[in-house]
Amino acid sequence: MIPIQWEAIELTALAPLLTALLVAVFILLWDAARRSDDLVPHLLISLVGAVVVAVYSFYLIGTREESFQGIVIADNLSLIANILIMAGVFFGALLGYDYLVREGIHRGEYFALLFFSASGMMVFVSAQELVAIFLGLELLSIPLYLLCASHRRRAESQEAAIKYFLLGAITSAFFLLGIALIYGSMGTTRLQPFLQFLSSGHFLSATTYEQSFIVTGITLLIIGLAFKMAVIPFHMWTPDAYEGAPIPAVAFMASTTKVAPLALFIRLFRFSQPHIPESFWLALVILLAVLTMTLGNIFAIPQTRIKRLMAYSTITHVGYILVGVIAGNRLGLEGVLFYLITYLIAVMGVFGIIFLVSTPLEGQTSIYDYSGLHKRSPLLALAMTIFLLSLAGIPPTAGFFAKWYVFAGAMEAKMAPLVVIALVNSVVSVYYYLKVITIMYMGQPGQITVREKPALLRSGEDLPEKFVKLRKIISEADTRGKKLHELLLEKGVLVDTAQAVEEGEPEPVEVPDELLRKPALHPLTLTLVVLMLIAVLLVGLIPGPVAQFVSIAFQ
Amino acid sequence: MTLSASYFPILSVLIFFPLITAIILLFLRGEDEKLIKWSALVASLVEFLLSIPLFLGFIKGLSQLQFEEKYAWIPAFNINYHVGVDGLNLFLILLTTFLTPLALLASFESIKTRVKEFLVFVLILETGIIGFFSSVDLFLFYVFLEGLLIPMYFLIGIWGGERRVYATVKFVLFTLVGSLLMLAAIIYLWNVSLGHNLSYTDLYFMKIAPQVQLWLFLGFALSFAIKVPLFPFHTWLPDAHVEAPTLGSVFLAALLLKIGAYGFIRINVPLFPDVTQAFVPIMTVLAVIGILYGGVVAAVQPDIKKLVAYSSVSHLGFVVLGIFALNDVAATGAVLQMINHGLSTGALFLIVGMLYDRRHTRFLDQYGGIARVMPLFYVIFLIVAFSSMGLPGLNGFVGEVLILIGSYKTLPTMAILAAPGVLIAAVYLLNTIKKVMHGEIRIKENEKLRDISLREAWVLIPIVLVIFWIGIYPKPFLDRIAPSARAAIASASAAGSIDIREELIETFKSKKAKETSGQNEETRDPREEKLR
Repeated sequence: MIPIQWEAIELTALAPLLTALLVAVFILLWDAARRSDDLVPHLLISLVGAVVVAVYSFYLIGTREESFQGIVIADNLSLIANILIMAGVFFGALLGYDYLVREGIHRGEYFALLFFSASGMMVFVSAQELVAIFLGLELLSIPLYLLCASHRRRAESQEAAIKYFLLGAITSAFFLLGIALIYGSMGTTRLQPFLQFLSSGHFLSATTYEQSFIVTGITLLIIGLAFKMAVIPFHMWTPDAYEGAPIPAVAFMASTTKVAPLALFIRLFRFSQPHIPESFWLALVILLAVLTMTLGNIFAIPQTRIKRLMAYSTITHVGYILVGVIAGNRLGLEGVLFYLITYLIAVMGVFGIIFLVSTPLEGQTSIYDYSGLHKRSPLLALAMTIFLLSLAGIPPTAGFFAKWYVFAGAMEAKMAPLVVIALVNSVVSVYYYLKVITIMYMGQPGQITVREKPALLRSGEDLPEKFVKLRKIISEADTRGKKLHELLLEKGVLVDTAQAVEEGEPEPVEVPDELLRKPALHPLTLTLVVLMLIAVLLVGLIPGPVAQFVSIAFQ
Repeated sequence: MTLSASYFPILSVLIFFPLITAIILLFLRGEDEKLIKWSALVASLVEFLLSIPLFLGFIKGLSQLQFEEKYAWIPAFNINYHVGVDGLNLFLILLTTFLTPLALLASFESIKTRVKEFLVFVLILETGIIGFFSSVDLFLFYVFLEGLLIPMYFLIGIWGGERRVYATVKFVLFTLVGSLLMLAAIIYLWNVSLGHNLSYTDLYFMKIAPQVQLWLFLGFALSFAIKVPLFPFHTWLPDAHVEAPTLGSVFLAALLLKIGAYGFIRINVPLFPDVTQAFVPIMTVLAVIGILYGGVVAAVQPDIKKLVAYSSVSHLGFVVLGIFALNDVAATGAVLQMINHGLSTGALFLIVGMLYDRRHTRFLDQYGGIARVMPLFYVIFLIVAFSSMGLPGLNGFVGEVLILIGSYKTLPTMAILAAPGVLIAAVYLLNTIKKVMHGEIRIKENEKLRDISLREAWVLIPIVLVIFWIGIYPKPFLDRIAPSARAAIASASAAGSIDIREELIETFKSKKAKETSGQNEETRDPREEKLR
C-alpha cells in the first residue's frame, strides 16, 4: 500500500467548492433541526454562503492552485466562473424565498440543492480530468432534477423533473461513452495531454482506427455538453422543464447552469483552437450554433406561455454565446463571460417579474396575462421592457454590448458570415420580445385571458363547469372573486369567453379597472428586480469595468 | 482640435437635457396633466434656445467638426463618446430642436390618454435624434440609432390609429433588419481600423480594399435605404405614417427619414469612395424611380396622410439623387433639401393633424370648401403646399434647383428624368388643395369648422417664417452647409474622376444640343449662379 503523502494533498484549489458543499450540508442539517416553518435562516445562510464563496474566489484570482496532482485546478477562468455561479445562487436564493413562502413549500432543501448543484458546476469548471468532469456533471444535474420537482402540488413540476431526469440520464451515458472511447484510444483521461495530442499534429499521424475513436469520443462529449446547454437538436427537455419547474429554479437553470458547460467549452477550445483551426469539431460546433439560434428563434415565435418563451429564448442565447466560443480568440472568449453576466442579470430580472405577475400555483403565466401591465404596475412593466430589450440586444442596455463583444470576437476571427447570421437572428428575436412588450403597453389593461389547461385547475364550488378557466383569476382575487364572476355574468362576457375557449383562441375579456389584479409586490423579489434593472442599465452604459473583470479570466 | 466654445459642452447639454427632463417628468404625478404638458413644452423651448448658440457660434466656411467633444467611454475597446457638428448635421440638429416644441404644442389637445408617458417618450426621442445626428463615433452613432427606435415604437404603438400595433412592429423590424447589417459593418470597421478607432473623422483616412468596401457599403446602404426610404424598401413608411399620431408623423417625416439621407452622405459616400462611384447608377436610378413612383402613387391616394407619406418618398428621392450625383452643388442642395423637406412635410403633417382633430377623418372626399370657413388655415396650407412643390421664393425651390442643376452636370439623364417629379408634386398638392379647400361645402359637419386657434397659429407660423427665410435668403444656410458637403463627396468624386472626365468629354462632344438646353435650365435663377 502506498503511504498517503499528506503534503501532496493541496486543498486550496478545492476550497471554494468545499465551502459551497459545507454550506449545503449545513442548510440541510439546520432544516432537519428546526422547529418552525421559518425559512429566513436558510435564506440568510445561503446569501452569506454565496458571498463568502464568491469573495474567496475573488481573493484567489491571480494565483494558480492545483489539487490532486492537477486534477482540479483553480485558475482565473474557473475562479471567475465560480463568482458567476455564486451570483446565480445568490439571486436564485433571493428569488426562491418569496416563491417558497407564497406557494406554501416550507422546506429548506431548495437552498441546499442550489448549493449542491453549484458545487457540481464548480467541479465542472475547475476539473482537468474527464472522470472528475463527469462527477461534476452528475453533481450538477441531480440537484437540478430535484429542484424541478420541488413543487409537489403541481403536476407539471413532476412532469418536468421526470423529463429532465430521463434525458439527463441519457446525456450522462453519452458523456461516459465519450470518456471511455477517449480513454481507450489515448490511455489517459487527463485533459492536458489529450488536448496537446490534438493540437500538436499527433492526431493526424494516428491510425484511422485511433482517429475514429477520438472523433467519436469528442463528438459524444460535445453532445453531452450540448444537452446541458440546451443546444438544438438536444434541447427537447428544455421547454417542458422550464414550463413545469418552479420559477426560481428555472431562473437558476437558465442563467447559471450554462456557465459550467461553457467554461469547459472555453477550456477545450482555448487550448486547441490556435493549432487546429479547421478541426472537425469546430465545424460541428458552428453547425450546432447556427441551428440553435435559427431554430430557437423560429420555435420561440409562436409561444404564448411566458416560461416556454423564455426557454426558447435561452436556447437562442446559447447559440449567440457559442459564436464567441467558436471565435476562440481572447476577445470572443471574454465576450462569452461578459454575455453570461448580462444574461444572468436580465434572466434573473425577467423571472423575478414572472414570479410577481403570477398567481399561486403559477397561474397567470400566459403572455396575454401581461396585458396592460403598465397600468397595473408601471415599474414592473418598465423593468420587463428593459430586460427584454437587453435580451434582444437593443442599446443602451447591457445585452447590446454583450452581443457587440461576442460578435467583435467572431469578426476578428474572420467569421463575418457567422456574425451576419447571428445578427439576422437577433432581428427575428426582437419580434417575440416586442410581442410581450406590445401586450404590456398596448393591450387593454382590463383584458384577461382565459386559455388555461383545464386539467391543472381545481374545480370551483360556485362556478359552472364551463367557466372553470376563469376560476384561477377569480379565486385568487379573494373576496373579490365572486363579485368579478357576477359582474362578468351580468355583462354577458362569460358566454363569449366560453366560446372563445372552445375555439382555442385567447380571446380577451374586459374586466373593470377596480377589479384588476395588481401584482403582489413581494419585497425581496421586488428588490431583486430593481437591482437587476439598475445593473442592466449600468452595465449597458458603462460596460468598461465588467469588461475589465472578465478579461482577468484569460490573463 | 476643438474650434470654438470648448469651454461649454453645448452638444452634450443639447443631447441630454431632454432626457433629464423626461426623467424628471416621470416623477411628476400623472393626473397633473397641465403641469406636465407645460413643463415639457418649456423644456423643449429651452432646448431650442440652447441650440441657437450652435447656429451663431458656427464658423462659416469650415468643413471640419466644430463644438467637438470627446471623452473615453469604453477604454478597453477605444470607444469614445465623441460628438461634433459640421455643415451636414448642424441644421438637422437645429431642425430637431425647432420642431419638437411645435409638435408638442400641436398635440396639446389631440393627446388625451397617458399624457405623461407620451411626453416622456417624445423627450427621449428628441435625445435620441440629436444624439444620433451629432455622434462622431460609430458605436455611439449606432447606440442612438437603435435607442431612438424604442420611443418611436411606443409613440406609434400606443397613440396611433387603428392598425397601430401592426404598423409599429413593421416599422421597428424593417429598421432593425437594416441596422443590424450595419452593425456587422461597424464591427468589421472596428476590427480593422487603426487602434480600433471608430470616429468617422479618422475612418475617412483609412484605405479599404474595394472588395471589402463593397460589403461594408452594402451593409450601411441597406440600413440607410430602408430609413430614407429608397424605392423598393419604402413599404413600411405609409403604414407607419398613417397610423402614427400627428407628432409621430412629424418626427418620422421631418427627422427620422433624414437619418438615412444623412447616413448616406456622412458614411457611405466619404468612407467608401470607390464603391460609391460604382454604385452611382444603381442609387440614382432607385432615387429617380422613387421620385416618380412616390409622386404618382401620392397623386391617387384618397387618404391625405398617405398622400403626404408618399410625397416624402418622392422628395427624399431628390435628396438621394443630390447626394449620389457627387457634385458640390447637388450635395449642398441635398443637405438643404433635407431641412426643407423637414419643414414643409412636417408642417403638412401638422396641418393634416389639425384637420383630423376637427373632423376625425383623413379622407379627401370628406372635405371640400374648407377655405370658406377656415381662411387663415387656407393661407397657411397654401404656403406650405407651395413650399413642398418648390415654388420660387419658398424654401423647396432652392433645394430642388440646386439638386437638379448639380446632378445635371454629372448625371444629365438622371436629372432630366427626375425633373418631372417637381411637376407631379404640383399635381397632387394642387389637387389636394382643390379637393380640401375649394368648391362648395358638401358635408354638413364642415360648415361649422373653426379656423385655427391661437395655439395652432403659434405652431404653424414659425415654420412658415423659416420657409420664407430659406426661400428668400438661403445664404446663411448654404454658407454653413457647402464646405462640409463639398468635403463629404470630395474623395468619392475624385475616386472615379478619370473615368468621369473621359465620359464627360464624350458626352460634351456628342450631346451638345442637350447641353445648351441644360444651361437654359440653369439660368432660370441667377441667384443660384452666384451661389455657386
